[in-house]
Amino acid sequence: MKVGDVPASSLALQAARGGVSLRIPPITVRVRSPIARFAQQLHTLYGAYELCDVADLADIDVRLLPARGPRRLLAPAVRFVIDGITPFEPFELDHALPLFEWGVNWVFAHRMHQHLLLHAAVVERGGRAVLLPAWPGSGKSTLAASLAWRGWRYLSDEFGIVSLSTLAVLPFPRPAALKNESIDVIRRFAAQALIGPTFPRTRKGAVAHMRVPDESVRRAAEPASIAAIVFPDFQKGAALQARPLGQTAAFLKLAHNAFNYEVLGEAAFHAVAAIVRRAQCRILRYGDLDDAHQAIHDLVEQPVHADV
Amino acid sequence: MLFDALVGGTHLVNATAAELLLLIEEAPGLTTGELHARLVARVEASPEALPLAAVDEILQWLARLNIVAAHGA
Amino acid sequence: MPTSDDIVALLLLAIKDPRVLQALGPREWERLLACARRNAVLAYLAHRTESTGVHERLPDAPRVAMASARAGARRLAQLARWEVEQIAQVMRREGIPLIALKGVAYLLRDMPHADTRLITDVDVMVPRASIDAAERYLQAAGWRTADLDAYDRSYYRRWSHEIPPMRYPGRLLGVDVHHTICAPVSRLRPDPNAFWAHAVATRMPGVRVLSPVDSLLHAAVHLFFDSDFDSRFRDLIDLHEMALAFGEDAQFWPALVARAAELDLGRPLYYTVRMLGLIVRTPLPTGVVAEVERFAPPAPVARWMTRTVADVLRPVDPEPWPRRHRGKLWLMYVRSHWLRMPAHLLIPHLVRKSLRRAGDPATQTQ
Repeated sequence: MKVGDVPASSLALQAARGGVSLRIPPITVRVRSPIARFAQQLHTLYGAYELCDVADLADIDVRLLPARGPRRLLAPAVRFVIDGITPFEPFELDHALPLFEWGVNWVFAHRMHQHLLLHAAVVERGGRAVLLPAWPGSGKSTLAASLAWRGWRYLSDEFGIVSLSTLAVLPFPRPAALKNESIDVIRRFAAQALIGPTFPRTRKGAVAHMRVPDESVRRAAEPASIAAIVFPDFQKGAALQARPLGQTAAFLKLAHNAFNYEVLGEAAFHAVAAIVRRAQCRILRYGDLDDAHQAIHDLVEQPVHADV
Repeated sequence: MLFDALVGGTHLVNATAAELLLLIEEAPGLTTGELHARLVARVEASPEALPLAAVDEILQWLARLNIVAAHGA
Repeated sequence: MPTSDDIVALLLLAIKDPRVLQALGPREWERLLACARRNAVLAYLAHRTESTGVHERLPDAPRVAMASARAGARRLAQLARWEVEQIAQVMRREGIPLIALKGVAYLLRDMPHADTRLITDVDVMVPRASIDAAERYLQAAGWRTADLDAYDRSYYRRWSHEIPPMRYPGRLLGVDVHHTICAPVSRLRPDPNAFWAHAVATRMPGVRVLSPVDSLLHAAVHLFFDSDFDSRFRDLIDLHEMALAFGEDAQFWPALVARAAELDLGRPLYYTVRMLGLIVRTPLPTGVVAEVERFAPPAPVARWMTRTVADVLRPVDPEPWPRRHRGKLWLMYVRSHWLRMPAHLLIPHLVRKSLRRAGDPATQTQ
C-alpha cells in the first residue's frame, strides 16, 4: 500500500498516534508527529512511496514535535527528535517539513557508513548514472530536478550512495529541495512537476520541495553504474562550456565532497580512485538548462573508452 | 594520490614526489644524494631541471607528513 | 510493547552476554539500537557481538547499523592516536613528560574496547610546573586556544585543573592539557606527584599512562564530578572494562583499596564498586565489596545516595518523551560538595555549560 492510497486525514491521525513508516529505499523511516499540516505535506510529496508496518524495524525513527524554543521564541516552534535527543535548534512550527527533510539527511549521513556517501545529486538514463556533486552555487538540485522531467530517472538530490563492493550508485529518492529562484525555474521548466509549499526565511532562503516522479520512486531499488561525474557551474547568461577534468583533480573534488570519506579510510580511497578512472569527468559551465541537458546527454551517449 | 593507512590521511603528491616515494620503497636507506641521482636517471631529467635542493625539499615535506623518516648515518 | 525498564535491562544483559540478541524481534532491535546510541555504547555493543562470535549471526539491519557505528568510532580512535603522537613530538623535543589520560590512555594500553568510544578530545597531563610552558610550546607548534569569553577564562584560572582547550586548526579533536587529576579547589586533592611516581611507560616514547590502579581511581573520580551528563553510562562501562582487564591480577584489588585509602579517594571507589555490582553486574571479588564499605558515607546517606547515583548512571531509554530529567539536582549537590564551588556560582555555571552543549550537534548521536 502506498502513502497516496490512504486519505491524508488518516495519515495525519496515524502520524499522531503510532507513527507512519515510509519505505524510502534503501531505508525505512518512521515519522511521528501530531502536526496535521506536516502530515498532509508528507502525503502530497511522498504519495508514491510504500507504507510499511509501523511495528517493523525502522532504520531512522524521527519525531517532529511542537516545542517552546529555548530562547523563548514568541512563535510556536517544532523540534526534531532522534533517539531521544534534539540535535538542532527548533524551527518555527510551520517549517516542520524542511526540518524533517534536513534532519533526515543529517541522520542518514551519520549512520550509513556501510556505503560511501557522496554529496551529490544523481540521475540515470540507459543504465548510466551521472553524479552531480554539490558545491555552493552549483545549481545541482535545479539541474537534477529538471533532468527528471526530460527522460532521466531521478535517484537522489543529496546523496550519491556508492556501494563499496560493486561501485554502483544506489538510489535514495527524496523530494528535491529547491531554493529561491530555482523554485520558479522548475515551475516554468516542467508544468507537470508537483511542487510543495514555499517556506520563506529558512537558513537557505526560501525553500520548496519537488515531488519525485512516480516512475523514479517505483524503480528506487535499482542501482546504476556511474558513467559520468559532472561538476555543474551555473552562471546566468554563460555560454556552455564542458571542460574535462583530470583524474587526480576529480579525485580530490570527489573526496572533499564526500560525507564519510574520512570514516571509511582506505576503502573510500580505492572506491573513489576506481570511480574517477571509469567515469567521464567534466566541469560544466552553463547558463541555460536545455544546453546543460544536451551536454550531459551527449556525454553519456559516448562510447565508454579505456581510462585516459 | 597517496593514502597513509596509519593515519587515514589522503595526500596529493606530484609526479616527482610519487617517483621519489617509489624509489624509497624499492631501496630504503639511501642518502639524499643517492636518491637524487637515481631519480634524475629514472625520470630522464637534467640535474639543472631537478637539482638536489628540490629533492631535499620534497623529502622534508614527506617527513613532516610522517610518510618518510630520516635516520642518522 | 517493551517498557523502558525492559529495554534498559536488555541492553545491560546484551553487553554481558550478546547471545541474547539472537532472539530479538525487529521492534525490540530498533528500541535496543536507539537505546545503545542514546547512551553512546552502540559501537561498544558491536564490539561485544564481534568478540563473542555473535555478530555474523545477526539480522542485516542491526548488524549493519552496529558496523556503521563501529567504523565511526574507529576513525575517531585513529585521529586520537595521531593527535597524541603529534603532542608527544612537541613535548619530547622540549623535555616535558606526558601522561595520557582517559580515552587515549585506553588506546595506548590496547584495551579491546578502546576504539569503540566516541572520542571528542585528547586528554593529557603534564607536571604543574610545566603547564604554562606546555601551552606555549603547543601554541608555537600550531595549536590554537579556543576562543573564550572572559567568563570562561576566569573559570579556568580559578577552578579548573586544566588550561583552556586547544585545537590544531583543521583537525577534529581538541586537546585538554591538565596538571592534576582533580580541580585544585575540590575536596578531593590527591597529590599529583603520587600519580607521576606510579606512571607506566607505553609504546609511544615520551608518553606514559597512569598505573592500572590509578587509572581506575581517576576514572572513578571523573565519573562523579567531571563527566558529561550524557556519557555517564559509557564512562561506567570504561570502569567495567578496567575491572575486567586489571582485575585478573589478584594483586590488583588489595592494591586498589590501599591506594584509595592513601590518596583519600575512597568515596569515589565505594560508589564505583557499588554501581558496577548493581548496574553492570561486573564480577568483583567479594573481598573488595566488603573492603570498600569503610569508605561509605553513614548508612542512611549511603542508601539514599546509592539509589540516586544508580538512577543517574543507569542507561536511559530514549523512547519516552518528554525526557525525564534525572538527578540534575543531585548532580549539582555532588559537584558543589566535591568542588566546593558555592551554589550561587555553581548554578549559573552549570546552566551556561548545558546551554552551550545543547547547541552543539557535534556532541550528539552515532
